[in-house]
Amino acid sequence: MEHLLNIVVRAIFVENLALVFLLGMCTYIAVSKRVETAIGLGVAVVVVQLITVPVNNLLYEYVLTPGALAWMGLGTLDLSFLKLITFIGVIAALVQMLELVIARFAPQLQQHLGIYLPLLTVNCAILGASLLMVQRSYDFAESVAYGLGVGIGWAMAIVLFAAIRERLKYSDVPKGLEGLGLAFIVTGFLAFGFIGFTGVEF
Amino acid sequence: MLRHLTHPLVSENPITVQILGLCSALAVSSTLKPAFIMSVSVVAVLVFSNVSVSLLRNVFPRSIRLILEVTLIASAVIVVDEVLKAFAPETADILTVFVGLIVTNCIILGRAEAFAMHHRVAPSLADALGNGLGYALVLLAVATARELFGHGTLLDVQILPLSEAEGGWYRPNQMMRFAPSAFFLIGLIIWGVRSVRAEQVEAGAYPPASPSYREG
Amino acid sequence: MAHEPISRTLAVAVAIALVCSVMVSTAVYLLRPIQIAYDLIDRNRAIVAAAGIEGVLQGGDDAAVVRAFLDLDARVLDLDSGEFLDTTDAHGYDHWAGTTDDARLVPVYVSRRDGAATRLVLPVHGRGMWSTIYGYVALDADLTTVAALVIHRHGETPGVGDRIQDPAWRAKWRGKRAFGPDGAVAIHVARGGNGQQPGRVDTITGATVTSEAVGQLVAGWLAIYSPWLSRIAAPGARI
Repeated sequence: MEHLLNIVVRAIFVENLALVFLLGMCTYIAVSKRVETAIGLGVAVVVVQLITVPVNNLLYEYVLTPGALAWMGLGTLDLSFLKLITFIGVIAALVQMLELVIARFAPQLQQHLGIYLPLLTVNCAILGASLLMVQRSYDFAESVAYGLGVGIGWAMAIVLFAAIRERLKYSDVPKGLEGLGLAFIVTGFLAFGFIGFTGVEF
Repeated sequence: MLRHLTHPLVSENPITVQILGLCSALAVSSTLKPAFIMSVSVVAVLVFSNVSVSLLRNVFPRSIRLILEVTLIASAVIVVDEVLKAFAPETADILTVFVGLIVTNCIILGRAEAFAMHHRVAPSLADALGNGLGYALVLLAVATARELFGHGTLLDVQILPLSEAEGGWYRPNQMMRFAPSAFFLIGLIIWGVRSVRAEQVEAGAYPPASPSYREG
Repeated sequence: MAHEPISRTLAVAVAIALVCSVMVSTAVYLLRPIQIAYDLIDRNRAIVAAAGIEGVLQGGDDAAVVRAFLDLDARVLDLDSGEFLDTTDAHGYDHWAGTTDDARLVPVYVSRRDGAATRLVLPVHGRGMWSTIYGYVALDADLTTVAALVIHRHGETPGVGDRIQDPAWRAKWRGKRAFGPDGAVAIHVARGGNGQQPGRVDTITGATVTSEAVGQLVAGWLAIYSPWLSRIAAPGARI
């Protein structure tokens, strides 16, 4: 249990996908202008991660990994190179379903998120989490913990950033730095801050 | 046609203007060699993607257009990944997940949807090269700065002799060794470009009320 | 949105899937042998270096490396039973080829001089900061002193974490005690200290997490090998 908790905590702070691994940046910078939208997107990311990472783990373990298809008599087959396309397929399907659910139950959120909800399909953070899960050979329970952790971590990072950006709107900033330039520099500070978490564990 | 090639270098640079392709630009920019290999990989996939989408643009059914594009891109990336693992294995180790993440690189899908779907093959090819080079420009600039100031080397050749070694004087800037420094560098690049190209400057959301505040 | 006949949609989808599959499969089929060959030689190089011929890490003729590797005694150890497998090709056995963490069959290598064992090379691996680190720990003939540490593969930060491959840091491992007098694992990587303690290796400044991770994975694997090591260290036992 402690081991799983460790994975969650590490995924939120020490290995935060947005601020340490720098994944999912395009959406991160683009959707962080308002805190409410950021929270909505954050929740969506948590849901997607929580489902895709374990599902991809099962797929990888029982279909793609070398020797996984031994029960079919294809024990020497190594399909691990197909993981990219399989994972994307799973993510795309899940995001599509999530879109339908959000359209039904939270239509304003869908309007605010606009194109960025379907863009979650190609969000580096979501695919990245699955690829990291494979690289670390997590089992199913660890994948669930990891999915939960990275989702919460990314959501927290984008909400933090949106809160800062909302305040920055009132600042007097040099012309060329306004907007995007300052967003990058602020994210840089946030990211450096998170490096301070290195080595934290249970 | 030349316009498609040159515009994405500065005026419509995918990273600094379109805000696309950030993930890999930030994370693999610590030294020049991986950055260079990443740039080549992205250009290769971008060219393949734009050309094939452009060739097939009249054949693609509307309903499954997106997933077909992703399939083409993912296949190209898998091929590139395998080639890297075969011919540049140490760098492939460092690039690890980021090569796979080229699939989700917003530039590739973005250009396929926004451009290749509506243009013929030749302009699509130019657009792919232009955007790829624009991406490479920013990535290599950041990587050069980070490697030079963080390690004193460029492509593993010692340019600034380190103070730790015999007779050296340069104390490496440790900040440059960490990924967030890439954010600062890109922020500064954007500032520099916008100071020169005023049309890229964003209008302030809430400009200060009294004009004298700016001069004061 | 114009309605397209479903047959056409299906046809296009299948055609593209087919083309992509052929493209990807061909690439993998052609490139896999090159990848395996590279990894094989690289692994041989690491094992030979751990066995005492440190010079091969700088480069050197592939054929010479493979010859030196084949000169070593290779056995496949079953961790559960503590016995060697009677296998056909221990030299070619790659227990890192799969992805599961709990491979119970590991190849071990023995270098001999005039018939007597001089070093025992044990594979180790574990999580680093960004990636899985693979390496080899070599023990002297007394089976309690570390003879060498070689890092085979890793994906740590260039210029920071990858300093675990520095000959200077790896040299610090030579002569350290792997096991204490009570048989427990003594070697560890920690900060501070003066480098003189027999069971302790200093962390790399600026790369604390990665170097500590190496310490943890080495200690972890030594603990796993420990029951088997105590058995073969007993007087009268032979490897």
